[in-house]
Amino acid sequence: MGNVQASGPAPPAPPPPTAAAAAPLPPPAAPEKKEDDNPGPMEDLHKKCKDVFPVMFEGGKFMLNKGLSNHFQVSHTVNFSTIQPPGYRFGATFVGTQQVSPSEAYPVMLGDIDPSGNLNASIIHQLHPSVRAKFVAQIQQSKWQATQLTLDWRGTNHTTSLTLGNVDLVNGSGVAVTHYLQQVTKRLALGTELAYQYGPQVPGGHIAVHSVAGRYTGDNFTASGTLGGTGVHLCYYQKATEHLQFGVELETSLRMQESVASMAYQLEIPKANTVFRGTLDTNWTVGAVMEKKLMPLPFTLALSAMLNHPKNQFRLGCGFIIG
Amino acid sequence: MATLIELPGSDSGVASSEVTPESQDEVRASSADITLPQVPSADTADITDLEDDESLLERVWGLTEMFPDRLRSTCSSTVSTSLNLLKSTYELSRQVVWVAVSSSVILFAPVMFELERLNVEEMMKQDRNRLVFGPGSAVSGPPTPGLMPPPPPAR
Repeated sequence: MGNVQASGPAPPAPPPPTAAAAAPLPPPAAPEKKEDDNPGPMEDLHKKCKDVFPVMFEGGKFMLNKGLSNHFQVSHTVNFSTIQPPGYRFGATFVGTQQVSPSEAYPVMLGDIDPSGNLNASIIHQLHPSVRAKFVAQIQQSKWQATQLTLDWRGTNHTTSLTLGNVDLVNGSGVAVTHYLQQVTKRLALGTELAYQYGPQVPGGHIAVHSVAGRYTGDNFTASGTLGGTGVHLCYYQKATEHLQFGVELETSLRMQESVASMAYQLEIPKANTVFRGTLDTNWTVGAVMEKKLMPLPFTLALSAMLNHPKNQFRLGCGFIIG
Repeated sequence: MATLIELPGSDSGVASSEVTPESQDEVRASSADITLPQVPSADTADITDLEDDESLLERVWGLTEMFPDRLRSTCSSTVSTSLNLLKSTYELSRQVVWVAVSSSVILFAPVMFELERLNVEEMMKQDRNRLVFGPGSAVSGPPTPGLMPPPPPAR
């Protein structure tokens, strides 16, 4: 069971707080009513740092994106690879008509499927100006591999989320996670997370893990951390210049008794339409991804390389994206 | 009276009642025979045999026997240790250089190439601008449309 990664739209600006939705705390005393005091969901706590890290891939990838209308977009992906069987995937994205802000519209449905029926799908919908729901499902070989339902309630300066994963009513197993993230001062956000898992395989019938999280935003940097029963996860993000960003991440897992530190940097060269991301690991793994837009045609070339020194393993990936 | 026949050199030294001067001389000579060193005539043959059997290396190796044992063992351990050290240093430096070079190829080479390419393109564009618009207009920027006058030369 794992978190299904389905790309969704960037988190939009929170809606203006209404008098009814104002929680026990009065709305923040700010001259503009639209001041963004919402800390964002807990999933995005380490987002700035994680965006710096490259995602390496292997083999050849050819992707064709075509927009059929303002609301509908279709993508065809052909994968050539030695470690995974080569295949074709068809993906579709539908954006609905409920326009919340100039950049966001709901509902959003995206999915991709391959000829043997393996499906990844996600639906994001805004049920209420401050409540957003997301449902992600993954079906592999005609079996439900993973499902996840997330409900976010964005308050004036806090965000509460509830996530239900892999709820199996027949066998009586599932995972429920609640997050609460509060913007304490303009720069500091503190939060807590409670994960609860129940099921017949779990020793004792159920298990709960609690952790605390915090994020401090400086002028040019962001430091965030999660500390809890599962381990420690610390992230540091620094913006060196307009085009150069750094990220450092330390992840410790108490269950696996291992800890990994990694460092990454992102360099944009706007004149060459290139974005380059490189990463270095304490597992002696080196990786890099370079994306280059071949103007004036809407082509993108992506090159990815990953070298694992102890295992002497090298993975090279090359992708060509049209549209 | 019956006398024992005494063989020369086998006299046990038991005093006999009849000790003749001749037999005493014989005894003295036979014992002298025993204590004298080997007669050269019998040994030259042995030495020449040894010279034919030993090679140069063996004779040089034999020279080392003149040094004390502790010095010999110290020298041999020093030499072997330094040889091993040299080998392991070479192996380590091989690994270090490989890791450094491959990591820098993956992490830094594409960025360097892109920046170099960008610089070269800018230089070529500047050259082209200078060629088309005359000297003094080597200012990089978007090319001006045909109707507008070229940018004034920098003073």
